[in-house]
Amino acid sequence: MSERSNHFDRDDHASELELAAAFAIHALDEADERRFIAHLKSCGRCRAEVANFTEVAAMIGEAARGDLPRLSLRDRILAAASMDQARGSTPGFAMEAKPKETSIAPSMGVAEAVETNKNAEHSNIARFRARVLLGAAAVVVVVGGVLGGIFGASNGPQAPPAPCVRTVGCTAVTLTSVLTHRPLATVMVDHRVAWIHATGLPSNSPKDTIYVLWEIVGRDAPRAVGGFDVLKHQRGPVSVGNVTAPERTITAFAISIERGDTVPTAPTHVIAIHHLA
Amino acid sequence: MLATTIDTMDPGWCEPNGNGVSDPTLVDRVTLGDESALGLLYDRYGSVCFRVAHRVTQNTALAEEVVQEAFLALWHAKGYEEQLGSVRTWLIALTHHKAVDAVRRESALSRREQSYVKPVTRDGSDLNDPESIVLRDLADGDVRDALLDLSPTQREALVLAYFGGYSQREIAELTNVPLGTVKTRMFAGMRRLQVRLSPLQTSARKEL
Repeated sequence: MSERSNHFDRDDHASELELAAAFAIHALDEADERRFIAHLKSCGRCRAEVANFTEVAAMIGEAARGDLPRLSLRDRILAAASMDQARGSTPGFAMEAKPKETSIAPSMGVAEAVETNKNAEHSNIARFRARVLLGAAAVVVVVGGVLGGIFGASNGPQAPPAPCVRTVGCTAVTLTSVLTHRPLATVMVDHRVAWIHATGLPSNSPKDTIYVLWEIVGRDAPRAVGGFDVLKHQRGPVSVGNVTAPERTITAFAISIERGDTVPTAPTHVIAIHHLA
Repeated sequence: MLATTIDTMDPGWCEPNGNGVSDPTLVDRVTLGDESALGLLYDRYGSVCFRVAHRVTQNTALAEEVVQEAFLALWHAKGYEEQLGSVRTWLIALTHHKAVDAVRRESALSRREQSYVKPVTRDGSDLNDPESIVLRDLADGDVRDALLDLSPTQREALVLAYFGGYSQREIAELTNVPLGTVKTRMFAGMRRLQVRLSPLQTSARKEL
């Protein structure tokens, strides 16, 4: 086929169309790419061309034979995502509270996102209350169902907690959401001192709320280990308090969030739990 | 504040598995911080993304890094919108883009020189030359046939760009032709591929 035979649709937009094809396969030089990106903002026709050419390019890529990735890659990606979330950089929370059409800064934190959408806040209260009830019910079921076990199991692709990196014999468990089962925090007990690594808990407002870690032994009432806050730029684990029961007798850990800044005698809003096998 | 804090943490959309869940739904879940949705999207497209990345970088570790970057970009909700096309296309394109950036960044000149520059021929028939090896290694017969239907110079420009990660200017230097000629060849080749492959795109969309 001659190189001229495809010029049927080339017009005064010809040079931009040429750029569209190369742009779709990332073959433009930097200057052309900058120029074309600027042009794309105001040219629907070129955006459509880029979309079409990108489809074509994807088909070429998809047709390539090759080895499968190592199985560990999946775990690596999910662990990296989990770590990012632990660092509070997951914008998903921001997306939850802000209309998708608007531009979301990836670094936007929960608090700012909430402030940007008061309507969402109000409409969420009813659902929140329902979930609190579900969470409280869940902890009762779990506590009732666990009659004994071995301390020390952990799950989830969490980062090694700092105290446990340093200390032989330290135990760590991952507490997951009572509703979604997403990992929210890792609890480590090192010489009876409990540490929390809030890998998935959103930051709270210390003036208004407090997180509380609870230790549970069999059918006994939960006992507060201590209260803690999750601050916006918090990194790594924080110590919460001392566990009182012998470690082998503890059958579950739970985290609740409470109004005010004091630790209550019993949990009211349980949000995460780990029961020991 | 308390209410919203908890609500954003437990959005309530989790399902036990992703069977039958559409890609856009999974992306929505990912943007809400659902790691399992990210895992499901990886299960669907991780392999093809890796193949693209590996084909471009020719390095397993680098390819894995590229795929990880692509999926974490999705995790960070950077860029995907439905008007950009399917999630599959977007992920493949993003992976390819990052793979090209990686080889340019690493300036893996030895790899690229060994792999592409020396033995490039123009007739597309010699299986010992990399361009033909790329074509031979294309599993999809329709795509391979469409590429073979291009003129050798168009095919060369596209293969060097897509699988070699070369820019138009680099291709002009490698093939010793004017930059404008490379641009023309690339556009004409892509347009022709589009004509050949668009019916397949349409049928694929119908299947989805």
